[in-house]
Amino acid sequence: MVLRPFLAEGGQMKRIDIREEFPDDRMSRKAGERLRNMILDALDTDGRVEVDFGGLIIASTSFLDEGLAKLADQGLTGEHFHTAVVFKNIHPRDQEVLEDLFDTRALNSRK
Amino acid sequence: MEFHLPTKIDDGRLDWALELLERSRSAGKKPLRLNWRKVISISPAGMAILACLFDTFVEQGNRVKCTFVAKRFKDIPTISNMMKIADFRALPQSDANSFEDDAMILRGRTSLDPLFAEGFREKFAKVAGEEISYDCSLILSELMQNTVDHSTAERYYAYAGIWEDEMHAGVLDMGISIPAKMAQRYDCTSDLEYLELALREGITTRRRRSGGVGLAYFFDFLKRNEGKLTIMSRGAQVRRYFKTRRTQRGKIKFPLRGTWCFARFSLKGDR
Repeated sequence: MVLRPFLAEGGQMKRIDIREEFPDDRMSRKAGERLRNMILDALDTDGRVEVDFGGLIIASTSFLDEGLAKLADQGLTGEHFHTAVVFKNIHPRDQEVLEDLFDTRALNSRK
Repeated sequence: MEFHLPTKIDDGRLDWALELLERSRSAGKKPLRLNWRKVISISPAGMAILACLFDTFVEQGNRVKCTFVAKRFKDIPTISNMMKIADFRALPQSDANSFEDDAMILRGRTSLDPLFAEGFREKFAKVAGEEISYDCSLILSELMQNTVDHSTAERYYAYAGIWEDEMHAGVLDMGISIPAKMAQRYDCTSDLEYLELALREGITTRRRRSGGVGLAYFFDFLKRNEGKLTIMSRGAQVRRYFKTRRTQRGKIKFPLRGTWCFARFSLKGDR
């Protein structure tokens, strides 16, 4: 999928509410894959997306890897990832794990 | 056929449990007499092991007689279920052996359970600390995920608890073993080789949604917290002691038709 670069500050930004969208499963790769597709769709139409974790603790490498870090496999650079995907109310440890997973994926996809 | 249960039912020496599973399969109409006289303590892992034994007894239609069960154990669901095993013609609901007290949680589950990790954090964060609780949740979600994805067992048992200044957590299933699953994709010469391969980072049997990243976090965490990891599946077991960087590996005396994974780590530095 070709991603449009992030263009406009203050433009419309789609919001994904993790608590609402993933009430029962915030652990599995299957749920992560759904999140990633939602993000890719939002990026495709709006160029930017807000992912609101609502203070939840995810603590699942499967969900974070499949849902977010794998965006690196689909052409998102670290810079693009950090400007186009805005995280809200994410637990600091989830953020740490996610950054680590994303960097690993980005590194491997450059090899 | 009388069987004396050990003093401590935990994830230490497990030959007795594996032998009992094997005897359960060969007992036929002969009753299995479980003598509880020596049993002093049951760790969180021990609760999960007993739950797996109970399920196997039910599935095999065993006649089980429990003797000398201490009064304090009689209210534990798995043990009270075992004591009236004749009432169970089929496996009861997965929650039938679930148990919780101040020190531990045991849950029988059929699918992923995000609430287990949340309940675990609520219960133990004050004692174990936020950091360790987060890491432990990460481990449990990883193990649950693997079990649900790979073992296709009818149910699994997840446990967590504080035991003798350590945090114990793990997941046990009686489904498709790791060697059997790995053999679908890799070619090894023994169960031990399959098990060791499965413990290598980046190895996965998933064809879609490839992963294999969780193990790196799992091991990092166990290293930081002087942990110990025991994994047994089918004919082999691996025990890793992260404090001393020692690994014990070998065949097990009686095959395990499933996978048992036990992690424990010190809480001394985090209290």
